[in-house]
Amino acid sequence: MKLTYTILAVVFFIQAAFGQSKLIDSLQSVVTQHPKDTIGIKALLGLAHEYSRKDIDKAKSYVYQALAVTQSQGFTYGRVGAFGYLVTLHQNSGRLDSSTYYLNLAEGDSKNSSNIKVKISYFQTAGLFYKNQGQYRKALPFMLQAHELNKVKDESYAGQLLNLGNTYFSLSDFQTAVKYHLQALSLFEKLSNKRGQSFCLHGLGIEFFKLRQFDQSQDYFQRSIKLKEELKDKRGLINGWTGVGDVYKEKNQFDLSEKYYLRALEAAKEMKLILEEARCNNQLGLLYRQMGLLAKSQTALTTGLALARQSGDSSMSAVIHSELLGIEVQEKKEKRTESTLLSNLTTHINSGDRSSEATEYAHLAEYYAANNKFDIAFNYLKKHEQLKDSVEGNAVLLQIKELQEQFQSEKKEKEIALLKKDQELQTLALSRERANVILIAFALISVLVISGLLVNRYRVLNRSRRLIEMERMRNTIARDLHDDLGSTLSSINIMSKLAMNQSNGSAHHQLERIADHSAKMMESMSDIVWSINPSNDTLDQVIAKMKEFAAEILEPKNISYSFEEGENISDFSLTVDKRKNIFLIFKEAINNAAKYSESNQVKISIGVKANRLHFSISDNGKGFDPDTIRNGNGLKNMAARAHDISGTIQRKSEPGKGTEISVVVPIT
Amino acid sequence: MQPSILIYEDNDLLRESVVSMIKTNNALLCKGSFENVLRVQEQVKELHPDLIFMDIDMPGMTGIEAVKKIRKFNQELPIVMLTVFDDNQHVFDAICAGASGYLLKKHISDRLFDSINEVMAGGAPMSPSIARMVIASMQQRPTNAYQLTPREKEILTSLSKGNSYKLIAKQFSISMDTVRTHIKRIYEKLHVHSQTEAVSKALNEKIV
Repeated sequence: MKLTYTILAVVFFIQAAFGQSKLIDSLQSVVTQHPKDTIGIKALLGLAHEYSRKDIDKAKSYVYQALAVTQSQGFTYGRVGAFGYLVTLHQNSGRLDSSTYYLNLAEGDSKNSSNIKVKISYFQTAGLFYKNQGQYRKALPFMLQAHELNKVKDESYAGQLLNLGNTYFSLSDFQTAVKYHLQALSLFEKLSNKRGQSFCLHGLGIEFFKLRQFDQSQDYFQRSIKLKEELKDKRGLINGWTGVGDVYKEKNQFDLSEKYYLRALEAAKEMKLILEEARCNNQLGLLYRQMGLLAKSQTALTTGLALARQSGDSSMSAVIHSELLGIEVQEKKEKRTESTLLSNLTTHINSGDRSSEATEYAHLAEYYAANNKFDIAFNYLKKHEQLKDSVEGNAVLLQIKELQEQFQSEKKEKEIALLKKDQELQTLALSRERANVILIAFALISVLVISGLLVNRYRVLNRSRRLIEMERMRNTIARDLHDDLGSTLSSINIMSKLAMNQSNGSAHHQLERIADHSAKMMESMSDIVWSINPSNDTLDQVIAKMKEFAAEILEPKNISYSFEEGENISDFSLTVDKRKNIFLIFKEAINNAAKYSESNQVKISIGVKANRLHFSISDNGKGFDPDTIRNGNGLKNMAARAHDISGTIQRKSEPGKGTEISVVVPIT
Repeated sequence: MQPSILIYEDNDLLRESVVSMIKTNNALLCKGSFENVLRVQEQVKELHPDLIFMDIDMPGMTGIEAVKKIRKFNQELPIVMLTVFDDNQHVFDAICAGASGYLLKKHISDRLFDSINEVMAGGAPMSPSIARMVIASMQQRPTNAYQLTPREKEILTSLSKGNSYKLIAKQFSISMDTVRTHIKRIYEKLHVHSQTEAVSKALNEKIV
């Protein structure tokens, strides 16, 4: 019923193991792309690793390939790695001599190299080798050295933790083993390495089994098996099934137990894993013995012993041998010899397997009891109890529980922290999103506003530019047209006057009319050009023009005139319409005064009151009766022009008392 | 002796009209009429006119350029600009270039002979808008670049407000002839500065 496990090799390159065939394909393609460099070597070793648990021969061939490359290129690290694989692979297939040979080669490389990685690799290989040989005490220093040298918390670090856990387990220091395994598990979870996790879970399963915590043990085993199924890790599954079989055996569910053992044995045979086969046989032997099927038990154990010896695992051999002897004792076919038992005991003490040591004490006690040497038997029994207690005792159990709880709570804390982080990230993402939305909205609005402003500005600019352009064009056209027209009209005027001087009688009147009309046309033309000229937009200039006109008309007729100006009239500017109409009203009034009033004095006054332009033209002429000349053409024109610019016009006249025209025009 | 006259005007009808008008007056002699000023220097040197009537806008070269060219070799020859508008920057520029005065085209039939007499007698017509421009160009400079006397300035200011020569004479209690003399002096002072092309250019660009 005492079981010993050797937990199987864990390796240098522990790869994340989703999609194994894909991984293999990609590694092979890497190899073809890098036939002669370190990347190619790594890929070859990776391939060896992948096959190490499926097809050992194929794995070996990959390592040899890698080795050939490293030899030719002189990559020490790669070579030591390759040696490591060869050591492990040969060991697993029972070729101990080859295994030792390569280990020595690796040791030589390590001594000659200052490269830490080379050293780590060698220490790992050596540790693993001795561990697999069952020489745990010898293995431990190598493993610890490798662990100490390794500073990077990567997968190989986790692998070292796992191997250390395994080794402490083999030394029956379950507490330390659980500690390392939990550490390794936690690191593998962080690295999301499922294979590593599966190894740790398996190790924990065995440890709890040893501590007789079967429910927990089964739980760990099942979790491990689940992962291994995912990974298609056949070899790992063998161990898992064996573990579950052990648990069922202890729970006295023998049928289930046998089922698992047989499943494991089948797989081990299929994979030609001798050590595994030996162990499965051992477990079956123990199960049968417990079931009372002694013959079956003996067969299984004998097969197991042969296999264990073939594989060179002294520990395993000793275990099986002892069990076999135990059965013989039970069958009383052959008395077990004191020397065999003692030599087995020495083997266990040397290997440091305290669990087996305790079992051996029990066997010895049984033996001496059977030979009626009760004092010696009692002594061994006491030793057995003591050792068993120190290995599986309550104190240890409590400590382990604590460790486990620590791990669990750490894990929970981690999960909580992770959840919190997740939440924080979510809130952060949300707030960032919101900020983004605001930013985008802001940018959009800004773009809209700016483009609106730009469009508006462009339109305003364009419009004003167009207006300016139009005005300039209007001015130019007016000037060009009038320059030409003016010249022509002037010549018509001149010629008509020349003709007038030469002609007699009948044509004279018509010629005079031509002269008059051409002169009038020139006059109104220049008025228009004057009024649309933007530089003439001040009231000041309108008044200057008025004075000029008054002088021009009144002076030749010897009509004296006065011009009264109010103050501050220069500040006002007038629109084209207003200056034109104001001037034309004025002109009409002056013309009337000069032509019809028969006056000799004209008074003109002009001023601004309350934003209204007031001007009046009065003469001392003959006047008229408003009723009779109401519809005079000139008067009508003046009224229309005043109306056009929202102004008013008043005429005051009586026959013989002169005429006064007053105009009021709003100028803002 | 009859004053001899040259006419530069690109409008054929008007040019012919002015020529025929001058021909009706036996006291005047029209020595030539041209539709452009491209050969103005040779024509003036060859024909030795006593007075020139010069249109402002002509194809090829403007009357203002022609005035400048004439002024390079003859500062005394009276040149009267013919123009449709008297509020025109061109008229002012022509005066600055050395023109003696101007005659509005609408007034040709009425005033051609008067203006000939006036110019030949040493007078010069100036309208309020030209006076305004003269004042404006004076104000743009800190110093009195034209070196006008206070009286000349007063007359110029009064003129720029639209007052006629008659009104100005009344305002300052001087005779009409005195007003004309002042105006002539003002022209001369402008003219003095534009005797050389460089000075006239400087004046036009208002950098003196």
